[in-house]
Amino acid sequence: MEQRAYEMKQVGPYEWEVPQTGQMNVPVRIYADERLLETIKRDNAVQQAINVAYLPGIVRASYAMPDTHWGYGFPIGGVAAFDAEKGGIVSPGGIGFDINCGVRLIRTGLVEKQVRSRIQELVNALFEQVPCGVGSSKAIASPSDQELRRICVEGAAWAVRNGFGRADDLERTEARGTLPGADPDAITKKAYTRGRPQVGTLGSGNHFIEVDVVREVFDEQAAEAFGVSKGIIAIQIHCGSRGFGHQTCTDYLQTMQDALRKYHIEVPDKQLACAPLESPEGKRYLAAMACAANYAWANRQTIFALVARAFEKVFGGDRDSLGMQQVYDVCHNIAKFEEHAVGDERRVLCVHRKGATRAFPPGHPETPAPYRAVGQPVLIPGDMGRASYLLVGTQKAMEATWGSTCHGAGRLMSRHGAIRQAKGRSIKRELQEKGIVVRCEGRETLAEEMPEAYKDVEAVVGVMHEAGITRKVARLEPIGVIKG
Amino acid sequence: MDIGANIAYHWGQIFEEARAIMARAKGSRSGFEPVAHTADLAVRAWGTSLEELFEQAAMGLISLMLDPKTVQPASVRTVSAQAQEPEELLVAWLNEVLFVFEGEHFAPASVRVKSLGGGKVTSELRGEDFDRARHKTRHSVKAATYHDLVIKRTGDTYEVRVIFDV
Repeated sequence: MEQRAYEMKQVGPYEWEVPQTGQMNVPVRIYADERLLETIKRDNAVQQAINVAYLPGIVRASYAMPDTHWGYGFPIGGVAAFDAEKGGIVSPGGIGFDINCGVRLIRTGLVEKQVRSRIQELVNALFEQVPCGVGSSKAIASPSDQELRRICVEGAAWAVRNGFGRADDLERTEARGTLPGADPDAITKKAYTRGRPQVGTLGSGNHFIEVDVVREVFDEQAAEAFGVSKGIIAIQIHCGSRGFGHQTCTDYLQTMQDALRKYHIEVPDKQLACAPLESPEGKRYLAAMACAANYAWANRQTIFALVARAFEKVFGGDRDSLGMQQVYDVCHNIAKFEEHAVGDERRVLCVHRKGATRAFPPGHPETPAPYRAVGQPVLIPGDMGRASYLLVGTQKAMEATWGSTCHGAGRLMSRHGAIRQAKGRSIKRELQEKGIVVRCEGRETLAEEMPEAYKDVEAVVGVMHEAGITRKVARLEPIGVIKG
Repeated sequence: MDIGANIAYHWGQIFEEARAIMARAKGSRSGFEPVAHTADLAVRAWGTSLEELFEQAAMGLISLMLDPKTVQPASVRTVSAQAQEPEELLVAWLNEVLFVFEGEHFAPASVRVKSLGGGKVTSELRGEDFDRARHKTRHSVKAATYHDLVIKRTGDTYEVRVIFDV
């Protein structure tokens, strides 16, 4: 990629701007502190955020969150909203290959003391229940063609209907775990083939299931509303739409190349391939994206049920006696149609969040009823050696970033760099010494995913807290991890 | 089993192989090597023809997914793709190769391009049905991406860097 010079100026204590120049339609707005900004610049993510600003129909700014890093096309940690009536586009690269990669947080009534002594047993039970790793498949009976089509349309509701979890889990899921507008005919045979055996599986890479302890509570009122208190055990599930979503993105990136030519849209990077929101190509992609998003929600809902099974095996009882309740489920790779204030008007925009999380305020109709007084929970997984955060959305987020915030720690080091750093070290032993029990299916994963490979989630979350975008509610630390 | 040391040894081997390939490449002029990228994995491939370039890029992908040396070349799968421009064709075809493993659970050991031209590529993959017990898997690759993908020709060497989303 061309390394072009750009001007950057500080416009707020944690806000930086690359002013609109040349072919940019809007400026770039980056949320970061000085240290994070240095890594963002070094990584070429700024140029990618600038490239996004070229896209037709983009509104107000091309945003980058503090955990931004180089992706393909759009930077990871990017947020961009498009107005269909102003020629706005939809871009599969602005959502990512892992459509609806996201996080689910579950609270329990167990405390650390109860679980510590049996953590290895629990980790083993989780490992047995949830297939993970390269080629992971067959967690549940392979769905038929008809069932797969239902998964596309119903999402998490399909899983609940098939005995995985409960109806009230849906209330505590973004979009209730079902994105409207899904069209199973928009999904290719290849995507169905890849997705069929993978429902209820974790996959590999940076996906994980974690057993956490809530170490600190910052906002008592929000924590209470979310059912979270200091010392309890919580569970995080981080995964996406598996091969189903990956193939769908691949399929549509190919058709978008043709759309670029058809609609005479010029992009500085092929991976920004897009089509107008109002075009048949754009609509078809969105209908397919909704299917993949729903597959991911069905997947996380199923995995939740398998996780509950593992806990029941080790501790006895059931979800109720274990106090297992879903806190929330968010996606961080998605495009959503949302109504936002643009100047004096209210407009429906197509908000792309790639490695960014929705963070809606108190009072918003999409904030679940039990949380409406405090705001939408936001789940920020850190790296496996340090902490994860539970945050809450604010009105400031609505005004500043289309109701969006960061998604995680963000990578700092390449996978090769991490492996070189790990040479001669046992990451597993290092984590064990910290009191974290890990089971990992893959041979390379642990080194590649080691804590140092990631930015400091404290800094990332801190920026968004200081900027008033999302407020810290609780800090969680892992005691058990399973990875693919 | 010390996973950390095992990983280091394993990757040490891969880097050694890559270095050996590069050394041979100075003489044989085709090969591939892994290269750094923050969130994903990239492969640089080169060859003295487009066919060779495609083959090396595919071997790069296969080597990211598993160790081809642990796979028997017992049977053959034909894999083709079509696209207007060479870069698009390469990405489309690499994603077909990926699908053979991820979708059809066929582990490839080697690849040979049979024909390439007019916006179409046909190839043969030699390998066998995926066996978790015997085949050493490496990464779950989501897709081959277009990111910064340019097929460069210098003299009679074709070169490309492909970034894979993992």
